[in-house]
Amino acid sequence: MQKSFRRKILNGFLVMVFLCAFTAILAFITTRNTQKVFFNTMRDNVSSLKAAEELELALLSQRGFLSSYFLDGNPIWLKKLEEKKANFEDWLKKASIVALTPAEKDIIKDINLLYKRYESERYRAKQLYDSGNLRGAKNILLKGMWEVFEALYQKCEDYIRINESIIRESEISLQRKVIGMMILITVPALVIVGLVGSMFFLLTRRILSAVEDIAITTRNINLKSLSGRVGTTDLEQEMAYLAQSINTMLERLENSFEYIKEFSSSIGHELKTPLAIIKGQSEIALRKERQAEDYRKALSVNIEEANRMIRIVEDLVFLAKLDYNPDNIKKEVFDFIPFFADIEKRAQTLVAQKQINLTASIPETAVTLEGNKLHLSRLFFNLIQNAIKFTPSGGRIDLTAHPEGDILKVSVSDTGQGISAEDLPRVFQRFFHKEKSQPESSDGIGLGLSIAKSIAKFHNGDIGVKSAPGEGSTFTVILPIYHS
Amino acid sequence: MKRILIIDDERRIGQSYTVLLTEEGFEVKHASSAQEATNFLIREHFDLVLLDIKMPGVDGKVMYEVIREFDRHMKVIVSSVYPIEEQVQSILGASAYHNKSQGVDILVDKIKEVLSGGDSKERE
Repeated sequence: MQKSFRRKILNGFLVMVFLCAFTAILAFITTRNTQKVFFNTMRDNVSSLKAAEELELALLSQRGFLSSYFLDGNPIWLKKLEEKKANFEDWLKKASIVALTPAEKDIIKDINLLYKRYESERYRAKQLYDSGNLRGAKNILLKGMWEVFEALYQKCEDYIRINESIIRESEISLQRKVIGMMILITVPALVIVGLVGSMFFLLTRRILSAVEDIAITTRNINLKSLSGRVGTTDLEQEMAYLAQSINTMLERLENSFEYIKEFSSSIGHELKTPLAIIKGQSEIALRKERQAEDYRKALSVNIEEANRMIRIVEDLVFLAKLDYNPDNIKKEVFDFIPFFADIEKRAQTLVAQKQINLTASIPETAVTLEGNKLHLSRLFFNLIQNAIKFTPSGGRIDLTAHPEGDILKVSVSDTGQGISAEDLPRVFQRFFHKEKSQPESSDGIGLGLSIAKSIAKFHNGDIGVKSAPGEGSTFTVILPIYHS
Repeated sequence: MKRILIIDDERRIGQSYTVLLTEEGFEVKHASSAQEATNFLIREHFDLVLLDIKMPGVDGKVMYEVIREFDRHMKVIVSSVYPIEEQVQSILGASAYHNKSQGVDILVDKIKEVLSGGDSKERE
């Protein structure tokens, strides 16, 4: 899978979200459980406490009802006592249910026993009272029942104490649980912070080291060494894209500098050669006394070589103007058909000298272009002269022009020797010579096709070439058709 | 009479050097392409070759190797418009190097030196 900072950040984010969600769920469940356990314990213990207190009250009120009955003999007190008794039995049952510890259970058992004794004492007192022994009844009420009541009261107090201590214990355990929960939340939170921190640290370091790499490479690039390239292996997608863009730029720069280097070397060679000829001719002429004819010959050679230099310089200036200052070249809108017919007419006079057959296929309807007619005719003559140069006597040159949609295609085909696959990409290079010029001829300094291409580009068009050795060449010019 | 072969695609250089060296008492032939030069080397004997570097098609560097194939001891003077340091970088081991811009007197001196001394190699 391709490496990417975006993917790394996303993965880090997902891990973080997962850890956060995990911690939150854990904390939530723990809190709820703790809460439930605590509330249950509290509820049980509090109700036990309440039960014990009510037990005490019930015991007391039973005695109260009985003594009231002894006072006025009204059976309503006994009825109320029975009601209370039922309630008391209920509470006792509840207390034995909520009793959890053995100590509580023992107390409840004791209370049960004591209560039975209390009841039997009460029963005995009532019987004595009913049989008229008021004294005996009161005696039981104040002594026997009292003793049992005291004992029961004590048991209830014990029961309350136990429950209170249970509540205290559960408070402590809750506190412990809260601390545990805090640890449970804090530790993953710290882990998350650590993970996120180190992730961003590593990510930043990775980005910075890649950037530093690029910076070092680009700092070491200068005119003398343009061959350095930024490493693109083992890089994240985004960095790889940046590195590749920089490498493409360096590639283009290197090519441009290579081209300029070669071009300057070519200019040097092309200008020094006529100078060397002029100097050599003059030196040789002056080495000894010669005939006037010899001097004339030397001087006319010098003039021709000077003209050659002038032509090179003019062409270079023209190319520089096309390349760097094309705004000053005027354009006009014109019909291409009569313009091209005129070129054909002039080309006929050129081919006639070499016995080459020139044909032209020109459309009849008007084709409007916007451009500089002088430069465009130079473009076509450069192509035609090039064709004449490489086509042997008896050969053929075809000129064709036809509109295709928004563009006009103009071809110059010849039956010449053709261009080898090796030379084909270089024919538009400046100072590319297929073969050495003859100084007498007006072309052949190696700039003709380069100028033609620059003129086509100036007109927002282009030139392409198709050729193979022995099969002739076809140069095709593409120009945009003008729409008003 | 010592025989010299001039290999130079510039016709006028060939012509003027032929006049010059003939007047200096040498027998001179001019070849303006590698093909022509090879034909001369096969058929005739030469004491020295005057070799240009930049030529269309087969250039001076390749031509130098071809000459060495014919005769390992052939005296070769490289003659070009490039500065001598650049010429030495292009073709290593020639008997001498001549910058055409320096003029013909220096060329004649170098030719005589190489032909008489046998070993007057310009060293880096």
